[in-house]
Amino acid sequence: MVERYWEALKGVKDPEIPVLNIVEMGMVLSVEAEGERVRVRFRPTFSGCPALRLIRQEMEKALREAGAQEVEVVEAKTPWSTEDMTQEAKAKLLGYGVAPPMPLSMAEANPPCPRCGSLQVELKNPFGATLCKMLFQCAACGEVFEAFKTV
Amino acid sequence: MLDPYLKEALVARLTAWADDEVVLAQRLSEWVGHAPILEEDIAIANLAQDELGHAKVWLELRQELDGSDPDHLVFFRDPLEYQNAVLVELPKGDWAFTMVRQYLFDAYENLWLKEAAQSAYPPLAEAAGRILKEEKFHLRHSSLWLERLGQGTEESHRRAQEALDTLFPYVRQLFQLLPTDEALVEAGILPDLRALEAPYLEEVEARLERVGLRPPQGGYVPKSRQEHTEYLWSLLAEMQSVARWDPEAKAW
Repeated sequence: MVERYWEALKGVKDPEIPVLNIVEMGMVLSVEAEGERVRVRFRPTFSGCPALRLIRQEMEKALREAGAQEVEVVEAKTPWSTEDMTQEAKAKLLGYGVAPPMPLSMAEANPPCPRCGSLQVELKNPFGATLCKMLFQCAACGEVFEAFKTV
Repeated sequence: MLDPYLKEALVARLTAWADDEVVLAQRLSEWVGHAPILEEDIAIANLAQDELGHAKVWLELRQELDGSDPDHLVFFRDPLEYQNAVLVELPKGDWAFTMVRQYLFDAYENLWLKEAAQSAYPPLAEAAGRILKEEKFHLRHSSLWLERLGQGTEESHRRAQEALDTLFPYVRQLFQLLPTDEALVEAGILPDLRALEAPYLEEVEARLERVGLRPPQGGYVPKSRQEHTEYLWSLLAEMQSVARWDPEAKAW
């Protein structure tokens, strides 16, 4: 039963990075079901994330469509980290043209260019089009690209 | 569970932090659509959004303690009830003024949040740890600007130095304790902000000097967080106008 709800949550995309769902992002901490009552604990990625309300709505909708009658979505305070993203999620990001987050121990290092793989990249701005990304330019191929912040 | 006195003290402290963030977020958002280049317009919108998110974190911690409504606190308190430091309410000025202020504030946040992440009050420790991750990017951004402005052209240097002359004394207010803070420090809930002033000055002065800027001596330091300039009035009037115009609205 719980499996079904997990599957349903995999249908909820991160509205700012629509190739990723909230489960592979590591945002869902637990799903508990008692009959048709479902309780989900989740944590936001960045504290100022404007998509939070939308994500909550989408979660509720997905769970109801999977058969839940009562849905409770609890926001956990546990800090989220990019270490909680699955390898698949990181691979999807790369395919999407966004440099995936680095391992936490290399948080200060620049990511390789997602287009040509060169390490000759320059930070243009620690902020990008969304809170979770920053802006780089590759000196080898000239590509301007976004990188997911390592947090 | 916290005893009633500590609880009240923590409510006051969380409010002071939240007010710093709300007021600074509003000042930053004034640049949206007006920043010198597109990338910076985007960056400053991000910064404003982050600071507002941090205010939300602090006010939700307060809500857990006293049941207060974060939106109500932000939009329906008058200027005299705001507990922000003067540093964040000063008008945005030119780009140099905004970036020098941001650097001074970011360096302070990075320092005290690191300490607060060890707080004996677990919800505060967790929140500080989370916010610190984001503040590291703020500091990276404003440090780069400090360097560009300080070592850029004669004009950028002059503007950065003028901004620093005005702003620097106000920074010291950030390290003052509220009357009720002492108990929190003793209980290990709050880092002793007074003890952070010296390491802060050491780090910041070294960086300023590296980029050719000279921290001024002396200057007026506000005595308490009840003290405000006239600028807070117009800032809040604008920020609160929509909420006050239709207080019953469920969404704007």
